[in-house]
Amino acid sequence: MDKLAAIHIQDCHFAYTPESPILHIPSFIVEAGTTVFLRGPSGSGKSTLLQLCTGMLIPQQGQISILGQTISTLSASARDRFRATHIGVVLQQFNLIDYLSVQDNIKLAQHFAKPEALDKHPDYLDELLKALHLSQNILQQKANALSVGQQQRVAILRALINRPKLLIVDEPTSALDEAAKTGFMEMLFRLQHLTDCTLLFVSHDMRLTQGFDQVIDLADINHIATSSMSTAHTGITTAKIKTAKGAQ
Amino acid sequence: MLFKVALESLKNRRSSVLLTIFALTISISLLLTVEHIRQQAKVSFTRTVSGVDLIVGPRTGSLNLLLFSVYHKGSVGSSMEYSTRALLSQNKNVEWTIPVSLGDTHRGFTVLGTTNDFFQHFKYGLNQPLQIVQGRAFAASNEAVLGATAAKKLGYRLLDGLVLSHGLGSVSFKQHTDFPFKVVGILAATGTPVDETVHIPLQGLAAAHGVKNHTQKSSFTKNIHADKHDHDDEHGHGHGHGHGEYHSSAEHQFSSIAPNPKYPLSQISATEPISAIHVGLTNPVAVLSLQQKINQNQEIPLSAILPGIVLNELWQLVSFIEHLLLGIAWLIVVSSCIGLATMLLASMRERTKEIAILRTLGAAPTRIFFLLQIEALGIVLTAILISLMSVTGMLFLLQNWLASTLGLYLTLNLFTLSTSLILLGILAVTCICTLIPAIRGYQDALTNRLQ
Repeated sequence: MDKLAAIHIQDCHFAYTPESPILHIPSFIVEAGTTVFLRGPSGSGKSTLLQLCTGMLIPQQGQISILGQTISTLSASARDRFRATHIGVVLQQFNLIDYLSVQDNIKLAQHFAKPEALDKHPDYLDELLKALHLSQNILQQKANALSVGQQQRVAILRALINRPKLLIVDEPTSALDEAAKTGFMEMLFRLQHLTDCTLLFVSHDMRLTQGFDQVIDLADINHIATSSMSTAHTGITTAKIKTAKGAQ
Repeated sequence: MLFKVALESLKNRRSSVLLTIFALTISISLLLTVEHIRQQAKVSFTRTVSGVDLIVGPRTGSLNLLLFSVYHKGSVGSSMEYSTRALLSQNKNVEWTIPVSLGDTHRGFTVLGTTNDFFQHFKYGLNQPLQIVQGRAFAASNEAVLGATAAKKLGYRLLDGLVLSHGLGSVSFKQHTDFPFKVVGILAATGTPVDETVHIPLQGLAAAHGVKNHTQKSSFTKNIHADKHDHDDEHGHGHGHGHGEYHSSAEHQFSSIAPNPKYPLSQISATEPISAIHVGLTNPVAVLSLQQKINQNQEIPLSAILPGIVLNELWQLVSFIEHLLLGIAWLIVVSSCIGLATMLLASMRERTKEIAILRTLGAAPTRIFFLLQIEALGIVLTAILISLMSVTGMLFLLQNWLASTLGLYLTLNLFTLSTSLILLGILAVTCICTLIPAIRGYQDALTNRLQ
């Protein structure tokens, strides 16, 4: 309790319609500065959990605190502003607006953040570009002219441009080939180290768990079992035993 | 930033956006044109006559009399005698009178028989008098003064000859060839039917008719000439044969165009038929009583009208059509705004992804709402700009044609209070129509599902 948790969920209930509850999470904590692998196949309520963490949805019951801020009680516009300023998000796809240049995509992220939170350091962008093996002139290109790998790396850059304390990454590698996946994970860890942010990495691909402080299965923290989840659940139960390590 | 996103997003959907702009441009141009012509028609309609307090004609409907005597449209069945003029002049309130006789044409242009009083007293617009820019007024009965458009269209210059045709219409088989006229003056452009008119002296008109039809009356007129001859043609002698020489250097010698002594401006026969008399009063307050007096005259069946009032009545009549046209134009604009909204709504499906990204980056749903409104307004503003340019261009090209065929005198300046209001109205309609896709975008943003 000394150090504020990056994500702190308490007794959270969520349902789109009252008849079919999606999530009931009694407790879920991600310590600040750690890297967490959250395993969850699609349909397990994973996207819903991420939207709760980013303040795009609010729970019907319970409390969600992000970086010490109870976002479930903030106003809608304050939550949007909070997300823009403090949380970086990279999704499986649809990260960049196709018709805008890379530069404009990045500027867009800065546009919605609190102006005082913007990183004024001129070298920061260069630093990020270098760490992601991107060249300067990629900035002028349209997002839809980039390869999938480039797009995902630009998405990371964009997510980190406001120096967020929390980086949420959802299945970022599913469209990449094996070699690219390894490279991508390396870059991700290097950047997490560089920016000293908390990393919540969501994927169903257990081969990527290497290097994470903590591996958590969504099925273990969510007390509502969805049908698609239970079918996907079979056979991989062993994996979650490893998670005990970081769950103090 | 939001503007930039809107602009890039529109560029990205170029073809449907361009089509929408095209549709909007057509409808906005239509609305602007209708509104402009409506305003200008009213102005050009009401500026045709000014300073005339009363128009007196043979007994007929007031609209008919106005149309015939001012716009040279329609026909007055009967005519009245020239002696009526003297009768009117007896009234102490009457300052001046202008006799007007219509019925003939010259190559499609109205021929108006009158006296020099016309150039002296007739006013148009805001009490502007007529101006003879080349040459002079009548000094002999075989002379003609042309309106600006008539002179230009016919290609006539000073001292050119012309022959009248009987009746209205550009093709007439009966020509008064025996009594040719000579152009001695050209009027400045007025933007009224005067521009389209060939003015000749009443004496000349009588002579042109008389040679063939009213031989007796003509000779009678000639007899009267004889008496007045001495007064009228004092300066006529000696110059009579020099016409040809003036042709080349005419520009410098307008004032010295000599009247032909063979055709003096003699006294006009009291029985000469005329179509109407324009009356100016010393005391405008007396106009109503004078009108009543004339209308109730038992001996001579006459009608007297107040041109301003009848013009208004006429405009009321036309304004029904005018409002109808305006209404239709508005409906077309509204329908293309709905087309715009439909286009935006259809694009929402492909844009859910874009909205999701904006939401993830921290854009509030209201921003999505405004993004769509900005896009719609951008499209409409572009269409408005193109419309303003194309309508101005079109008016520029059609200006002369409209003036000569319809008698519509339009200015190129589209920016009046009411067009500005119309443009604001279009923007308002746009915002309202765009509410549908914008609210849809707002809701999409609220219930955003990250995939």
